[in-house]
Amino acid sequence: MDMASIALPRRRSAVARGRAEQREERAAYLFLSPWLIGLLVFWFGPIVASFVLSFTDWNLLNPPHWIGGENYHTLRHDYNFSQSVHVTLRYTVMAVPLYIVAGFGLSLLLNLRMRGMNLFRTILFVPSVLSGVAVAILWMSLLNPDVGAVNGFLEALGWANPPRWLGSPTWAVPSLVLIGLWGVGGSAIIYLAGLQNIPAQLYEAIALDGAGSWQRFRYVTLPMLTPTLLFVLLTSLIGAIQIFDTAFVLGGQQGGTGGSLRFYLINLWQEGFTQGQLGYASALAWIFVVAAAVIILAIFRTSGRWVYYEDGVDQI
Amino acid sequence: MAAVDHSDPQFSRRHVVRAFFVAHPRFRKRIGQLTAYALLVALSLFILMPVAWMITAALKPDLEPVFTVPTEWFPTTFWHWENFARVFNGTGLPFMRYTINSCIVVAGNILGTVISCSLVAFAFALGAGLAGAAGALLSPLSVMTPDMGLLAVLKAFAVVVVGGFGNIPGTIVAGFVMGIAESLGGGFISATYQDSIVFIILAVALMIRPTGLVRERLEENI
Repeated sequence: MDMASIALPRRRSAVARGRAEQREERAAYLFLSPWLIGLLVFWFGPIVASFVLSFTDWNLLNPPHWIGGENYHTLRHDYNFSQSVHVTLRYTVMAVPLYIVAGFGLSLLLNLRMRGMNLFRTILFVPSVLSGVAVAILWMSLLNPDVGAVNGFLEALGWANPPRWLGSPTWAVPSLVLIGLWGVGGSAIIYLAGLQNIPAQLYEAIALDGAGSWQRFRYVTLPMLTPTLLFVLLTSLIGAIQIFDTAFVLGGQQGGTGGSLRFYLINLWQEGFTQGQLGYASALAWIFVVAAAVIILAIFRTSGRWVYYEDGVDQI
Repeated sequence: MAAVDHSDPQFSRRHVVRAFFVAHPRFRKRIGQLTAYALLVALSLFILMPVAWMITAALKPDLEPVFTVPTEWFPTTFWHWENFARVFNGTGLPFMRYTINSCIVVAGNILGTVISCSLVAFAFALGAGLAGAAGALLSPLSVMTPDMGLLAVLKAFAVVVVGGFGNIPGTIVAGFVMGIAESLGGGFISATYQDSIVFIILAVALMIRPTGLVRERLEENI
């Protein structure tokens, strides 16, 4: 009897394998098949198809013709494309750091042991249970530049001509950031879970060493929360570059005033489904996928330097 | 306690320092709590005002404009609860159909999730449940300590190895065989070495049949 057969008693040569084991394997694949078929047909198939279509001029009506890399060449002179990249980056740079800092601060507040904290936690989570379309319509009314409640409030405070919010090319993106900030309680709940998982003995130990509240935060809370920060950073980054539903309701398919809300996916949707240029839209989609993958990989590569895992795992 | 001698500079300085450290943190904590409450109330208002506006706007009549300057938080005429009924029968849109569609999607989603998750969880729960049952069966027999059952766990592991990993019938057979062997060995050979018998069987079994005692036979019979 060799060592391998002791360590892995199930794994033997194909000849010696029993019929029962083969049948069990067949059964396993049979049970997996609905999921596997769904994955191949409805997920993997369209992905491959869109890659092939990105090299064609398909417009739904005529059969696709192979045009090589022309779609990718057109991109460089397409104003809508460069504007959509600019708008999306502007939103991402404004929203992601703000949401991370605000959510983190809010979770620190909600983590205090005080009377009535459950009520505040519930209230701050309310926006997260509303659907994106309902939130967009609600804020469209509130941010109405002439009769909306927000500008009424600002005027009452003495601001003579408050911003025109979604109607103004300058303020359209900040309006979306503000609407997203309203729902920051959702990420605060994730931080809160991370905060409550920090073992109490670490705080005891650092208190015995004479640390103040800032040092407790800097040397225990922050390092122990870096995995949560990485998670929220990645999900909010992906959410920011993929913004669609709120922007679509607020800005329409033209992307707001002067294209100030022409986010990347709005532009993609318009090229594909109102202009009917599905080949070109596929090329846009692939540029997007590659760019997102590069950004996410870059974050993962640097995460080893600032994310701390207590159990010694240095990569997710 | 002796009367405080304020002329002693050493003492009075110590007194002041102690007063500072005793009273100050408590005072600071109170201030901190008040600040936290103020912040939380302000944030809650920021969250709730749009929701409140949404609710009162839903109760306004059509003729009264939803938008007024300054913003009207409450309908001036009586509250129009019938707006909610009109959603379903007064808009000309098949709103009931939309609602049913959403319900179908949600119900299908939940059903699929619950079924698949419970199947997966069952595999984990079976293992955990068996371990729990074993613990419950063991506890009347031994002293309740945090590390109770260590020997039982070692023996159980030996039983599983002899019976075959992942082979529940084989493990049951091996458990009976080894349990009886241990009791008989304790009676006929030596009660002192009773605990070693299981491990001797394990060593022998590993030498002659490392795939588990009853594995081959079961495979042919299934």
